[in-house]
Amino acid sequence: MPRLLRPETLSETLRALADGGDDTKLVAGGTAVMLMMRAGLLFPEQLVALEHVRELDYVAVEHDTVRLGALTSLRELERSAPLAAALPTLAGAVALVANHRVRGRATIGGCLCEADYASDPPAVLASLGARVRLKSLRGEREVPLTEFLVGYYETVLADDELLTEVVIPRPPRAARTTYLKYMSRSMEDRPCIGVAAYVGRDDSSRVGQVRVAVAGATATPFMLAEVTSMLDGALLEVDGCRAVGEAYQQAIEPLSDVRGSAAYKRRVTGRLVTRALEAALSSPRNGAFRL
Amino acid sequence: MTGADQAIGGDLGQRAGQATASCVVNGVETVLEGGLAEPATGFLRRLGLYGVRETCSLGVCGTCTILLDGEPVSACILPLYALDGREVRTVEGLESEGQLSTLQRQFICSQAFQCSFCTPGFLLSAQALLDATEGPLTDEQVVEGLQGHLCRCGCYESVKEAVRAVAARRQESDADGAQPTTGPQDAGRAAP
Repeated sequence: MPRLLRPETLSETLRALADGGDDTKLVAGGTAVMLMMRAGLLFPEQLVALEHVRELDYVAVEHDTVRLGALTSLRELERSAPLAAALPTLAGAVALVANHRVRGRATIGGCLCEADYASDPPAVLASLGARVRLKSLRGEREVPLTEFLVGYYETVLADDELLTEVVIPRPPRAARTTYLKYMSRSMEDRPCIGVAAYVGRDDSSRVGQVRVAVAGATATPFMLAEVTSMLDGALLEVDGCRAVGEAYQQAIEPLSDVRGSAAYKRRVTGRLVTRALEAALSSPRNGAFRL
Repeated sequence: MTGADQAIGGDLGQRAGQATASCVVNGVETVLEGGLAEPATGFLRRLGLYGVRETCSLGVCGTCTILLDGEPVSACILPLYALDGREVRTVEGLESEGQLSTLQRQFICSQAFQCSFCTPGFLLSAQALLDATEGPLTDEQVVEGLQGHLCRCGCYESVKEAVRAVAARRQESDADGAQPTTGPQDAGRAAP
């Protein structure tokens, strides 16, 4: 018998998931699940609606980390002054997702579990080195976001697990972050290509760890650690930015979609990676920018 | 009920099980029953609230916008159960005692529409923006507040003008008592 469950606590939710089969689906804001159901892609026997689970709705800015409750809406993240101060690039990128009606319903946990390849927050969070906390009645595990996302709309989340929290290490004060979102159709579209760059820096002119994640081209945020790790400790200059951009352009194998052909996305990726690194080095402020 | 209204999520609701939602719709206590995954659009239209217009069914175009506890949401991707315990406002709830609101009258005076299909959505997001702010609004604030509303007649500039005109006047006098102003392209025409 198909039914709707509306748990009010985390433990009730985990119990419902443990008792449910693989035809049980979690729904938070519904902006992804409703589209899939309306498109006839999803026919759950049971829906576990999470919007009454208030304990997973929070932004906690702490000394070393920022923790986001999975059921915090994108609109709340966008409006959070503490988040904007601690992670301006993430707050800015979230504000570029869809439109405010969608952001008012969509949650950060739902966004990551949907695992859409053309999505801004996963790439930005991957560049920031975020981890996700997964809970079930069996226990709890913390997984790097880059390992949580495994394919198109696919994650490692087990049937009885719930993503409860996103944990983001706070970048050092001198670190630079940026997100460039290029849209080929309308202002509220998903990214044709989005590039998130993180450039770790100490007080010297040399760079620390560099991470660059590309959204909209591949199944999961595309990162070339072997290329960016060569920059560790280097003096990152314009030539270096261009070399990384070229390496990304060579290595990436984008899919073609309504927002651009594979060849087009490959070219845009190269230019945007270079621009994102240049912006991270030269721009006076961290943030997300619509192109 | 038209065939189109039945088509909006009706079949889906049958497949996905039943649910009820008790909510306040434009000030009236209402109990809605049906498929839990059925989008709110069909239910609201069956109440006769034809200002809720479904177009893209993707949360993109803004014509099905409603205010849920004062915040604009797309009813086409809002499941029925999400209305439970909440306050819903549609464009029909903007007028009071048969009188159009100040914002609605200003839309007329600024000629902020041609075919008017998108107008209910614009009005509701604009009302939410006005409710959430004080004093005059900048162009940027209006554009941000009306983000994701598509008007294929291209009335964006007049919509912006209408919202800014209402925002500018609310400082001078109580919003309800304020009279609409005529737009530049409408000079000399009497306010309704």
